[in-house]
Amino acid sequence: MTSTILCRTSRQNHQVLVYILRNASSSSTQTSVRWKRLAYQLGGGLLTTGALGYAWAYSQAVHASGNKAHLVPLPWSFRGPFDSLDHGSVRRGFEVYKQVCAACHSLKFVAYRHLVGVTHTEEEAKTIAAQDQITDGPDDQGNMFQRPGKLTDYLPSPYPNDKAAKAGNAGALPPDLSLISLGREDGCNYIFNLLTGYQDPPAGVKGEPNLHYNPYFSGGWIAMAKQLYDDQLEYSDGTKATEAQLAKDVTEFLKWTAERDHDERKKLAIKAVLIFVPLVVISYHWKRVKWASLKSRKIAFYRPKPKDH
Amino acid sequence: MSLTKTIYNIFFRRSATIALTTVVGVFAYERIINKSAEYIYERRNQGKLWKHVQPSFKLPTDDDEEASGSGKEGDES
Repeated sequence: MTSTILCRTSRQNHQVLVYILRNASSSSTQTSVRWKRLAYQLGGGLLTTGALGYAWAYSQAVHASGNKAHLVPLPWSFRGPFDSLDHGSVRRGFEVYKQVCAACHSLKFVAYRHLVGVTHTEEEAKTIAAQDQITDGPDDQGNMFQRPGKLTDYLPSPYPNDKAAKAGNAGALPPDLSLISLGREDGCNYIFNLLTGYQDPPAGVKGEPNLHYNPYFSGGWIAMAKQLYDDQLEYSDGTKATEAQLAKDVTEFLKWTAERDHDERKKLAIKAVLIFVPLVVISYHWKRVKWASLKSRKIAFYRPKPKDH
Repeated sequence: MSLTKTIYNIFFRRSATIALTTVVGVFAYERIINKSAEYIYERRNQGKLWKHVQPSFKLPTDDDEEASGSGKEGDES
């Protein structure tokens, strides 16, 4: 047991303070302090767990009741923290959007150039853009005109404005789909379940004549009719276009439109783990090494012998 | 133990060599991290990334190939 005196002070002959560095010993005061600290840690942990658990349980109550069916969670290819989107699926989803959904739904935050390197090559994207007519700015007479699309254009909307969209769809506005998978709770599962969830209403349940029954939609009655049917279109890579395949592909495509940085972000997550895990381990070790002398010190007070006057 | 002692004497004794070691080390570490992350990511997502998927979507863009009607052809839109 080595002891090193760090410093000494004396104040008015009453007390001498001596700091001693010593290996840890289990004196009675130290063990009781240790038990107290353990009690505080356990109590604090239980309290935190209790508070968090209560908050979680309280938030669950909002979902327990509701006016729509519980979603079936599906094994998406991008579910894990390091899993990317399936780009073949995204490409097929774009084809589904183009042929089925673009008649009513706009996709105004996606440009043709976004497809390059993700779902199409540059030439393919140019070809696709050229097949669409884009409304362009006023000419010298002040009239708007149509022209074939370029890579820099955004995908055109089927209707010029919301009121035209509502008028064309019996008063219901088809929402823009660029961010729909972020804009709906549990977006991907919701979209897939909704698209494949059309069924006959339960006996006795009635809705408006131009509404369709879908238990996954809030209230059960949705203005959109069932759109996906088996073999509705032909995929360019030959995949069989069943209803489930169509729904899955279009959902994966809509996930991409909402989160175009998804793949890069998950690659960055791997990098972050590779950098921070060793860093944290080393930092913790370094801190403990440097603090060891302080953490194992002992402060002792000795009353000096009274001086003879 | 003498290995660490050797490393210390060569790299960490003088502040100039510490700085040099840090710079070279960071450069090397970043390259290693980037390469490893890419490798892990591509192995985990084999068959899903665009570069794996693109060959199966090869569409002819010139007209004479389209006229002959190859097997993988279909409506681009």
